Amino acid sequence: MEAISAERLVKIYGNSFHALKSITLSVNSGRVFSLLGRNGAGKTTLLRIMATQLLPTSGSVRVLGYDVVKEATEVRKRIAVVPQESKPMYLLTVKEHVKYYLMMRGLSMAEASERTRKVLDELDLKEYANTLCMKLSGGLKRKVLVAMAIATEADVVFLDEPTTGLDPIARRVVWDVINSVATSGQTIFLTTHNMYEVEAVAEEFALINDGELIIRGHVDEVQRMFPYKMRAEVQATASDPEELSEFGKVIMVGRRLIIYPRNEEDSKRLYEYCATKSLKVSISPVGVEDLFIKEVLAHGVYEER
Amino acid sequence: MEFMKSARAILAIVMFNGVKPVIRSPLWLIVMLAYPLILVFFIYIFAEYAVSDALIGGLISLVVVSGIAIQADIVWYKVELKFQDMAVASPVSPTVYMVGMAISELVYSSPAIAPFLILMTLRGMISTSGIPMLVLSMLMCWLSALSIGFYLSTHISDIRHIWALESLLTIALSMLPPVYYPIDLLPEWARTVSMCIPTTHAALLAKEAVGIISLTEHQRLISFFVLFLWTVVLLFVARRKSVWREP
Repeated sequence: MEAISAERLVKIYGNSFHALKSITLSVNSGRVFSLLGRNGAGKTTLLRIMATQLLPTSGSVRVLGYDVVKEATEVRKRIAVVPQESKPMYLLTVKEHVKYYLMMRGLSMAEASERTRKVLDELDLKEYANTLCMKLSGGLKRKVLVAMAIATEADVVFLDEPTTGLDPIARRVVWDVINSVATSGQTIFLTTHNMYEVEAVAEEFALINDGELIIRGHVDEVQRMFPYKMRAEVQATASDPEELSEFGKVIMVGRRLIIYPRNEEDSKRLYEYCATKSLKVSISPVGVEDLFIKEVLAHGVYEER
Repeated sequence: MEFMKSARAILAIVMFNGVKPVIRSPLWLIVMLAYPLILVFFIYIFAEYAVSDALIGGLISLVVVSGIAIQADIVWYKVELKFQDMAVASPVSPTVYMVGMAISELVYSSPAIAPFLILMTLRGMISTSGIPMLVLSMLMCWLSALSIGFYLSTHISDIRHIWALESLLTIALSMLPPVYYPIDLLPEWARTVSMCIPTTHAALLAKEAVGIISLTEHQRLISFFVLFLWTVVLLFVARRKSVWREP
């Protein structure tokens, strides 16, 4: 069953800025779906339209079969959102956040208290239940916001860049939360510009660039579509791209050189070459980052060799 | 059922935006009380005859501040915490959200209103017959200020502008007009200008209700009508022009 479906969705800000250009997308229910894209690609605009916060210019979006424009009230009963860069209230405790948010959504005090207890238990937040949010670390603050959304038991939960600005440990904390929720049957739609996040939590994803969807599908399937199987990474300052291009396709990403060997033999030769030149090299299977690099190459962000 | 859900939502908003922050940061209560009380104190020293006017002024000032303060809280939740986005994408309606926020503002001002009511009682200003008009004029004054605050909050997104605007509006609505002082002290032209401000009429009605001044039937009707009209127009504008889902 489809949890979300968008058809020829367009959003134009002012008279000229096309934030979304005819997006058509469907998300199956009970899955973690990730929308990947650079800053300004249109991720938040798409999420905000789906979550009834923003009106589209044209096209339609249905969430659980309800139109987000004409039947927003029905949609809002069934969704929960953690907006990008949202923060908890400083003078409330963790427990109060979840409980009052649930009561605001219409739950009785007893029901809200029970669900709060349950979600704090599930997300390992019990020991912080009575701690004021101003005293929590960045990761825990994010976790509280995610807990608020999860506790609603909404059919669809939207998470807009839930780990932006977090350190790697805090990021893992949030990923663990998402993964634990994913098994409960809720549909999670998250936006990110972090390729590793897609691999860490999502089953399906789409890549958005300049308001257009470029790739979409299952993470593994899309990876299989990639023309190379392995990738190697070396420091750009210590190596010669011309020489490395002998082993495969070379792309410069900031201070890194990414090499896609054509076959296993090339991988071996590359490894030996790096060993003789005392270059640090890491060779691994291709991932979502590689798809991302491939697709944004066309926009001149990275230098191809 | 829907009523119960709305009541719970309002209670939750009052708890997280009013009760809990006030308990954990009670300094706000002192700030809220200090401002009008200091003015009353100065008026007591320099013009003791106007103390009763000043007490009504303080009361109106508190009501105006507790109405206008909603804009800072709404912008804070919308821009800084992004909590309003969570509220929009939830079953809570904009009306329930606004009512909850409005009542939560009263949590800050109520403890400050109490000393004013006590002082007024001690001075023999409160009578059973005057209470209905006193309450009604304060209610309309509060609703007008609330509507201004709510309308502005949906059109201004910088919290620093909001703070500045809040101070300016408080001065324009409760300091400049004849709220703390008798209207007779103003020259004719200024008196005419002050008649355009809703708080002038709230003050006239309240001062009559506590027996400081006496209005003719005609003056009373005009003041009531002007204040009522302001309240209805401002509520209408706030309801119609406020933005819940962004266009």
